[in-house]
Amino acid sequence: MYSPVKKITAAVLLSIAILPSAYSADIARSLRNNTLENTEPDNFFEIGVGAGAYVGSSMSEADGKDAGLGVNLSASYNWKGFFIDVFAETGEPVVIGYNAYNNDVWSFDLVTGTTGDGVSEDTDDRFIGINKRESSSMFGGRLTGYFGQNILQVSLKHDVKGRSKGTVASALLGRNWQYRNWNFHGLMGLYLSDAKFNDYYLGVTEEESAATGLETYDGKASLTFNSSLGVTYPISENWIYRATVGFGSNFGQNDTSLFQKRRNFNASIGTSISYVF
Amino acid sequence: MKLTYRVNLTAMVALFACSVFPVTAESEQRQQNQNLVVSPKRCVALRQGQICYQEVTFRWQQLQVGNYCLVELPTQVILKCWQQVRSGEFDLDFQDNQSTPFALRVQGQEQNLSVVPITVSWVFKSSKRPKSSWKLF
Repeated sequence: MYSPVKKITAAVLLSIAILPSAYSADIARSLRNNTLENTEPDNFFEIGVGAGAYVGSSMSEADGKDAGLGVNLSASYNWKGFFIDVFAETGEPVVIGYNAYNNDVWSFDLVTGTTGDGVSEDTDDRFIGINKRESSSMFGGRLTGYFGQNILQVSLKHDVKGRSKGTVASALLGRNWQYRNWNFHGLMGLYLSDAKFNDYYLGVTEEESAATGLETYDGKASLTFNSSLGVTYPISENWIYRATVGFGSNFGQNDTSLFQKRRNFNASIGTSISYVF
Repeated sequence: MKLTYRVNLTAMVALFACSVFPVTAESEQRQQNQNLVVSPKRCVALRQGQICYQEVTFRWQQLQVGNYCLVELPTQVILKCWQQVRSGEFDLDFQDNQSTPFALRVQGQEQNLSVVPITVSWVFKSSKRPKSSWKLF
């Protein structure tokens, strides 16, 4: 989620549409599943179909709007404190981690995950001649606190692959409610990306500017806000219905000339039906 | 020839009785349970341990007119009693985190005429994490 590029790619549109939300870590899943306390994560494999729509800043869409249908896969496997989350409710396609500490209230995980790719010549014709931004391998920790039906999570990660040499941090607060068999959740968070991280993904060098005609841009540290409201309903023991609306800010990230359409805020809506094995 | 026929007939009747009576007893049991039905039979929650909500309808019938009661078995709570009838219907807003059996009884008695469960199931199981200290350091 902290990758600004991901907001405007089809992949992210898909994640908005299909995955309940694109928040870092699986706090969203805990909220959706109405986890009341620090419980053992469930092993699962999901496949589903969904639809979604997005409006905000965009690198490839002139009006900054997009909508689509898609198929989603999501899985999680946990073994003796180790876990791997694939296409979970996270901005990183694969997160591998180890639960280093937990008690009734707090849980601390060491996590590593690879971000999606950034902008490249394939993103849009405007980027012919631009250097491809590779994915980053983020390593760090996340601390999660469970306070009744509220969940607090803070995380700090650094790009250990060294392409961006960037650091990102987040602070998320979520809460869930149950009304009969409908499970509602609300989640809001602040995301901090340092200048190195933003410069790698959003910066435009003089060489790139000369090749593409885009204005040069030096990435700056950014603080963005994101929120979501969602609902999950168990149709049967294996089928789940989900719907989510999201709202967030792009301040500090959409000044780059990479964006074809710039908006200070973004909004999304998505719905999906998934089969849980 | 006649004798042989009789022996064979007796044997056949005995065989028939042996094979049919257990089935008949089973059928009676099934018949008895069918005297009380609930629809839907299953309540699905998102997570194990959650309260599951389901509006269900119980329907029952008996051969004899009488006073009957519908009872929630674990708590022995009487949900409803009927007077001088041989069939009845009852709507219940089921709310529980575990499967629960219900029974039809003659009013004032503890013998169950029929028992039917509402099964609670879930999508995601939920087991408590073992408490631990730092595993890493």
